[in-house]
Amino acid sequence: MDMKKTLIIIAALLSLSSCHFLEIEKVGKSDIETYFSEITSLEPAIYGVYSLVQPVYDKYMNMYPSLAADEIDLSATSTTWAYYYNFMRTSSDEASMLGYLWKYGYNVINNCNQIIEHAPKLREDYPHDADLVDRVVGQAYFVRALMHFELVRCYGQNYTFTSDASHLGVPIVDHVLGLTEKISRNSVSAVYKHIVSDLRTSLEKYPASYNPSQYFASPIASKALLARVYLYMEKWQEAYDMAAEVMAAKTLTSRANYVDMFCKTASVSDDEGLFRLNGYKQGRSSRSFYYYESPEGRPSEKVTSLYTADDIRASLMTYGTYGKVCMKFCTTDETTQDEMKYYNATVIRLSEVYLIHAEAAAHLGKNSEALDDVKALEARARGVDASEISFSESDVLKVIAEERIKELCFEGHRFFDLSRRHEDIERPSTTSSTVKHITYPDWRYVLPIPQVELSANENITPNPTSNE
Amino acid sequence: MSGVVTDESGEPLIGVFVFQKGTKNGVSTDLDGKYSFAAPKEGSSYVLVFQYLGMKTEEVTVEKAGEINVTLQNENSLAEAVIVGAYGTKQSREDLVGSAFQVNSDALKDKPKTRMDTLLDGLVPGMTIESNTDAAGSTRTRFETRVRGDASLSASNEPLWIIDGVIQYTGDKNNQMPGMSYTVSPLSYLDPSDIESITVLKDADQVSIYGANGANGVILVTTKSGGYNTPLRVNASVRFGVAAPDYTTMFKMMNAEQYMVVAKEAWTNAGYDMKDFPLQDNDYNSYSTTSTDWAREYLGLGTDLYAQIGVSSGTKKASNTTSASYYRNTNVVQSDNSQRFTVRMKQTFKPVDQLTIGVGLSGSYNINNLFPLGKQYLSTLPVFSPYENDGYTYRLYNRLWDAEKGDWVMKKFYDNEVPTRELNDNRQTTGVTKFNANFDWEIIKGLSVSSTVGVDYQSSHEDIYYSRETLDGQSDGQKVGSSSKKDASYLSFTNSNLVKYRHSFGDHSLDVYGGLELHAQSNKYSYISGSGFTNDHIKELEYASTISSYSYTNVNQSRSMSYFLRGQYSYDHRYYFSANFRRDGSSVFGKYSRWGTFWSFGTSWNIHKEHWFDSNRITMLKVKASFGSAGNSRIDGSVASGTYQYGDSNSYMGVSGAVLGTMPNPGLSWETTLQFNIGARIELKNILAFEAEYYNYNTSDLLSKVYVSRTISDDRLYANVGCIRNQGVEFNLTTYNIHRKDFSWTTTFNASHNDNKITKLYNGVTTSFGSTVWKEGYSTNCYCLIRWAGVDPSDGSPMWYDADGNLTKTYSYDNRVAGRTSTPFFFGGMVNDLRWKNFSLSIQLNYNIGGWAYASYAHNYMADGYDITGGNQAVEVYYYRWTTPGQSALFPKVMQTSQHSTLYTDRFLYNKTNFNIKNLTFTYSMPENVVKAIKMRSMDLSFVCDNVYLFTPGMSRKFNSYKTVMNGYPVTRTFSLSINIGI
Repeated sequence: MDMKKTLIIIAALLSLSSCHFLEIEKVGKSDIETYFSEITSLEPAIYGVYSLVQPVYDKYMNMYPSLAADEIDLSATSTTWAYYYNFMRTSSDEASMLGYLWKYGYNVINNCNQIIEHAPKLREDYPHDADLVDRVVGQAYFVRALMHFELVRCYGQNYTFTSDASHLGVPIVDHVLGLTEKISRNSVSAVYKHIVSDLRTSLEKYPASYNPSQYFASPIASKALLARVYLYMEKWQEAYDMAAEVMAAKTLTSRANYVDMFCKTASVSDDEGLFRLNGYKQGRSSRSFYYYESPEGRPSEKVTSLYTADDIRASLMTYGTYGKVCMKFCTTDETTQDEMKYYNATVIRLSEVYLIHAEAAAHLGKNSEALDDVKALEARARGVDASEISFSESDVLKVIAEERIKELCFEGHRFFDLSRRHEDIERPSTTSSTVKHITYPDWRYVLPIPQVELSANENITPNPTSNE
Repeated sequence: MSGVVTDESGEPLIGVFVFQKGTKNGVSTDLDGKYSFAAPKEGSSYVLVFQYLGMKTEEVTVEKAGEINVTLQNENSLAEAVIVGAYGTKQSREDLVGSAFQVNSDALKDKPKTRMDTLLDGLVPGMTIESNTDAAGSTRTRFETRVRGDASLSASNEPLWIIDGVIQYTGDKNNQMPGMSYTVSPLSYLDPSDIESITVLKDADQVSIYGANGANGVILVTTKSGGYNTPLRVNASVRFGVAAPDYTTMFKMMNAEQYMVVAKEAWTNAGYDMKDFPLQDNDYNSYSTTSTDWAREYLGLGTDLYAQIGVSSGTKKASNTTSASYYRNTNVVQSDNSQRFTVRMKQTFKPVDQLTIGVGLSGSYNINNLFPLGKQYLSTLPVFSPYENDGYTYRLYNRLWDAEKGDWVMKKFYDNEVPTRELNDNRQTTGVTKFNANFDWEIIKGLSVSSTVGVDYQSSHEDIYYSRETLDGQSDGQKVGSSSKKDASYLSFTNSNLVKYRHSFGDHSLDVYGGLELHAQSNKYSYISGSGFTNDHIKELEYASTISSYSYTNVNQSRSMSYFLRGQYSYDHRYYFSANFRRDGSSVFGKYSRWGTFWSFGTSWNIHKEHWFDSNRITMLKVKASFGSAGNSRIDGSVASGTYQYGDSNSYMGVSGAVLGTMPNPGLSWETTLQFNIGARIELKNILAFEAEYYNYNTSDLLSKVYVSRTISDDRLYANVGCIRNQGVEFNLTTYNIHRKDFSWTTTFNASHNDNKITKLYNGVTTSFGSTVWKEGYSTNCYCLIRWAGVDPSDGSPMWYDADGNLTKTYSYDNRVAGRTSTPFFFGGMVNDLRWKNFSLSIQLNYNIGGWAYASYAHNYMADGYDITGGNQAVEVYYYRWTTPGQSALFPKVMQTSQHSTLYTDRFLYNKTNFNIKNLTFTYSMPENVVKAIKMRSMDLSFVCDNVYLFTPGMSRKFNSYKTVMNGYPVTRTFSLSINIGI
């Protein structure tokens, strides 16, 4: 045997094991580029996004805006929320809402950015599936806007805190970031501008035929959210127009189905929801927070005292013999099957759009039009004709504010309604909180930026006072 | 002078070194085994030495010139002088450049037959084997093996195990077996009697050739093979042992009487009313009269049975060995047992002289019935009974007074593990198949190619069943029974191909090999569970009323590919130079850092071979040094390439979704350890052999998770963040104290010191984990605790020192200071072998000096009355507690609600100094004439005692000390008798 042959054999052995040997497909995981190389990946990616959005509301946004304001009496045994109820949270409380909302919020945004970034290539590679790509991308833009909106209203002061909204908001993340990028906080005005632009883009992206159920982002959801954003910006005309557009396209849930809209797992036939989060197999922290058998938070007197006896909405504030409980997060058609014990969180629904319309109209001087919107909701709630209800036009803003509590309590509005209207927080005297009153303006209207972020990214400015 | 040197079969031996003793006059034999040697001047007699690797060295006294033919004998076992090296190479200790320590079968033969790694405890300098926890939880303790300290923060610190050239999977980075609920180590599936030698490779010269996985040391296990030209030999042995817990090593808790005193006092001190005391006698529980010693309910005698038979034989062209063994162990934790059946065959064929073909095949079947007794054996209240008042029905509830309800409540008695033990199943059955095939072909003189293919396949099945009669098997009070099944298979494939070249010219000799290695590891898991059984006899899920929707299968794979080259040059057996180079690719790492390069250089100098060195006493004097790099790739495989995760956990409306898993981190690269080693060895003929080594290892690019801005990633990301230095010294000394025909006494002693320090961390940021901390300038095993300042005699309240050293009575987590470490100052072992006529005695003592342990049992059970109605506490709480003002007490006032006195404080640090008589073996070998008369080759009878006694400072009959907190369960002492026969 000569050496040549041996060397050939060895060479053959070496070449056999080329570098492909080291390429392994990871099961259940694939690298990002591989994942987005196929069109079939796009739909699961947006479903994944919704599964990440749900906890933002379930764990935090269904409680915080109510309990930081005056809608909730917190149980003395509640440990998770006591710091928020008493405004004692500090930036090092990372294992609570202020850490998680930041973390979850940006994680959702990063997921949306992956979709938005990879979509153009897929659209090019799969021209027949252009509609699918557009519909997913439209939803990604909507969710990205929604998360920026939640972040900016929690960590930043309200839009009109400074006259030009130049005060600090949150970082805008509009592309996939590199590991070394150090991003800083944008002004509130820039963030709102970006939100509006994302919502507008979503409307451009949705294909004409796209009309999904209320559990997905949709053109009407984008418009409704736009209306809300304009309201926060006090761009009354835009809010008024946008709300009108939504109202023209949708009808309110009937009185008969009103309670079921919250208390049944299956959606009612005339559900007025514009964007809701389906709770099937998702977390249900809100349910246990409000659960009637042992609620952590009960509706405060400030809410319950507003309803008249015939108001159907009052029946969502109590259940059986359990006293004052909020029934917007527990279903009453539960089976023993554990996975059927869920609720669907409401992010935005038509009644809110009526009230946006009303508030914008009032600011535009159209008081009677504004009161008509309120009357429509009151009439449904009380089962009477709108003509039987009368309000004084001079009280129009107060009427709307009160109606917003009656209609939208526990749905993530109260705290931000107070701050955007520059109102104080005035809790009922019976509150167990150490804080009974906060005079606007105050840094307690915003959450401290979590310490993890401050340590990892020196470009982030902490919120004053609350980050002392 | 001339002649032919042959082996036992008459085959000529090539390259035998023939030299005149005490000089450097020497030659090597040629292709025909011939040598010719210029005899020194006529008339004087001299000694010719014939030396060949793997053969016994022959010395022949030459009176006059002429022809002398010599036959060299095979060394029966790999004698101490031959050290197994990487890729099956063998090196004589004299030629060794690097640091490798070998333990041969002789030193292992009387060790417990349970598992392979613990055998080495105390025998190898620089190597520690410790259980991963000091608390109860698993009766199959996981051991952490460390060679020269911890070199990594987040990747594995475990050494690489290679058995007969095939990489042995030992679990994940913490030695946990993924896919199983309870880990049974794969190292327990092999019969330790099959081991010929275990070599621990320690320095760069030895481990660089293993590149990416070498940084934590490499452990090479070589199994026994038969020899050529050997007659058929049979070895058989039977060993039976009785095991009992050494109760002096068990943590001491209060008895029922002491407990009641302390519990009531703690209750009152907390400001509660005694009428609300939960443990008041009632018709269901009579607390005042119950006194249960829970440990005795669970612990008792165990047994150990081992039987083995081995046959080996060899012809001129083939050799083979076959063995089979059975091992059964019943643990001192009752109802916990294991069985192992093994069969092994190894054959080598030599059709022509240039070609060797070998095959090895072994299988093992293992049954492990687990009773993973938890801390309940200590903590369950002594005033509870395992049985109902009838004395035999298992107690599932206790009736306690509930002050809030103002009524008696039936509280579930989860702590009662007696029904769990008797009624539930927890069984693992594992089949292991290992095979390897190899050939070695010398194409032309000096040049050979060889190849090894090895597969190690392990398949485990786990049955866990919760009986309808236990609380685990009940749901909302309904008897349902629940069953879960897990399957896992682990496949390790190794292929290595080598080209070797060996050449000598004049005084120069060169030994080079290079090659390619491929390794693949593939683990597959599945899980299914369900509940709802009509009775406890049917436990299969086909008959369950509900199958849980949480079922899964999964697979985890990794691969690596490596090129390597090693060269060693020596001049005149005096100067040695070696170099290693290895390039490793791993699927674990990202595209941009997939390949890592490792290298090393070494040199050694045999001073005793110098012309000017003339000593008959000193048979070896050698110094050596090496420097080089090795890596560590054993971290989670998905960290480098960013991932998208698809699955049910991210479903929406029941439709599976996908989310961003990890952000891509393409720059992530290997942890690299630069290793520097120097050593010296001296051997004085028939007096001693002493070896000392110093090493300094620096690991850089440490992988650890660091926080990044949440706007980039929602989780911490792996990054290469810091550096660790390990430096230490190791000594190994063998002394031949007495060396006479009928009496000999040999002592082997080793001592090691390792100093471990984090030299750099990401941005210098300290990371703390409760009681421990990673801090620059401190050890990786550094504790971070609040300094205890004792008890205020006036009111019995706890006192601490704050971070600045001032006395404080306020508890604060921020008062923790980094300080003591768990790393011992010195550790090692000593073995004494004595032989008198046919009797021999061997005693092994392991020791550990210095280092601190933050004992779990101490900080759990010396709880100063905190929640005492929930669990029993240590005996010290009774004796040391503060009771009256002015009393200077060791422990604070007991209180049901006191909780700060036990948190993160250094009052629970124990000095780890201990001396452990690990093993004592007394053997009687039958005299040869007796054995021959019954037609046998040999017969030995041995009495073995394992874990004879343990000494720690401050040990006491009444109180706890390091002795009682160092292990989760009391130490098992085993007395065995064994008989070995050879035919």
